[in-house]
Amino acid sequence: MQREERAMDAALDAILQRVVDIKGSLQELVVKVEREGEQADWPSYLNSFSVISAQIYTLMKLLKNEKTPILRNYLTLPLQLNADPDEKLLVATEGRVPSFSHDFVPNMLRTKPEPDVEQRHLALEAKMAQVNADTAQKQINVHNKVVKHVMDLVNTAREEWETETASRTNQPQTCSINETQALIAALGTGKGFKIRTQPPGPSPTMTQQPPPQINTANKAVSAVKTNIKAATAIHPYSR
Amino acid sequence: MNSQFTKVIIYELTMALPMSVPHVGETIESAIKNQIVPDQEFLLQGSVLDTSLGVVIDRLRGLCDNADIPPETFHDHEVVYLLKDFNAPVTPGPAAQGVMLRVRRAVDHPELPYQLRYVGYPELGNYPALLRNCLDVPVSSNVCEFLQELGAKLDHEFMAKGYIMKKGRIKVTVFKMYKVGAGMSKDNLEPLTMSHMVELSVLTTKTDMSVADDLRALADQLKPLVQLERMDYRRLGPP
Repeated sequence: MQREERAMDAALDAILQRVVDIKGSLQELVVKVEREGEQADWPSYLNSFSVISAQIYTLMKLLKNEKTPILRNYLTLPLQLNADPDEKLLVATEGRVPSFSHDFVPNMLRTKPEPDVEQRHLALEAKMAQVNADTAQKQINVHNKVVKHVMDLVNTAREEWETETASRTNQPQTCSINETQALIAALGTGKGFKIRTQPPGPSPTMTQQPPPQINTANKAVSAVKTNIKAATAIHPYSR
Repeated sequence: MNSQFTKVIIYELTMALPMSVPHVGETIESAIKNQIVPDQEFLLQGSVLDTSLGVVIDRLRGLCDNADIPPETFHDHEVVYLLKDFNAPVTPGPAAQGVMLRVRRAVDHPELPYQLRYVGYPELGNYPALLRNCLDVPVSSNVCEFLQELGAKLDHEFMAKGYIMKKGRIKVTVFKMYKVGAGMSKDNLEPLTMSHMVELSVLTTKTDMSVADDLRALADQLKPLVQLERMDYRRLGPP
C-alpha cells in the first residue's frame, strides 16, 4: 500500500511539473499574440507551438509510463462544495479560480450519468418497481444459493488441481545433502571416525587455531594405545 | 635409476585405481615413453540413500563401460596417518596441520600390495570439478610400521565397501563407509551414515584439463538421483 502511495505521489509531482511547464509556454504564447498583434512573426509562433507540442508529448509519455499508477482506477472526490471565494485556491491559481464550482469545472463536478447509462438505469428502476416484495426476496435467496454453489465447485476444483500437481512433482528423495556433507567430511578429515578415549584436556585454554591439532594429537596418541592393546590377537599388518 | 622410475610408474598407473581393475596398457606405455606421471585429480562427490542404491547402480551400469558384466565390488580398509611435528608449539597456518597419508589395503584380495596415497588440498579456481594434487604409490605390507617410525600418528581408520566402475578414464566408485569396531575384525562394522558415497574421479596432468568436462557430463547424467558437486571438505568444519 505504501509503495502505491509513494508511486502515486511521485507520479503526481512529475505530472504537476509538466503541467506547469505547459502553462508557462502557453502564457508566453498568449503574451506574444497580445503584444505583437497582426505584425507578428510566423516562425516564432511556430516555435512556440512546437515547444508546447513537445511538452504535451512528454506529459503523455509520463502518463503512459509503466511506473505511473493507473489513474483511471482512482477517484477524486470533492471535499467541499462552496460557492464562496477560497483564498488558498486564489493564491494557488494566481488569482484566476476563486472557487472550485460548477462554473469553472462543469465536467469534473458532473453527477448526471451518460445518456445511455441513464436510460438503462431508468429501465431497471421501472422493472424493480413492478416486482413484488416476496418474489424479490425469493429471487435474492435463489441467487445467493447459486453463487454459493458455484464458489464451492470452484474451490474443490482448485484443491484437486493443487494436490494433483503436488503429487506429480513429489519425487522420492534419493539423496540427502546432510549425508553428503557428513560423508565428505568423514572421507576428507576423518570426522566421525576418531576414537575418543580421553576428553581434550588442555585444548580449551589454548588459542583458537591450535585446538584442532592438539585434539587430534591427543586422540591419536590414545587411539594408538587402544589399538595396540585391543588388536594384539588380530593384527592385519603382522605378516 | 631409470628402471626404478619406470617400475614406480607401472605400479602407480595400475594401482591408481583401487585393486583388481583391468590394466590400462596404453596409458602405461605412453607414460613410460613420455615420462609423465598424472598427479592431478579431478573429483566430484555426492551421496545416495541406501534405499535408492539399486537405481543408481543400474544407471551407472548403463552409463559406464562393460555394461554386460555385473559391477566389480571392492572392500578396502583404509588407515590414515598424520605426519607432523607433534611436539612443536602449535603455530597457526597450513604448515602446522601436517600431512595426511592414507594406507589402503584390499580386504577381499590380501595378495595385492598396499596402497599409499597422498592427497593435497583442493586448488582454487573455477573448475567444473574439484582439482587436487594426488599421488598413489603401491607399497609393501610393513608400511604402517614404517610410517610410525617416521613419526606419523594414526589419525583414523575406516572400511569402505562398494562398487567400482569406469568410463574411459573416469573412475566411478559407490561405497559405504564403516567405522571399524574395537576388535578390528571384518565383521564388527558399523555404518557411518544411511547413504552410499558416490565419487567420480579422473587422474590427469596439469596440462590436460579437458577431462573435467567429461566428468561434469557424466555427473549431470546422474541427476536428479545424485547431486554430485565439488565440495571442499575443509569448509565443513574441524574434525
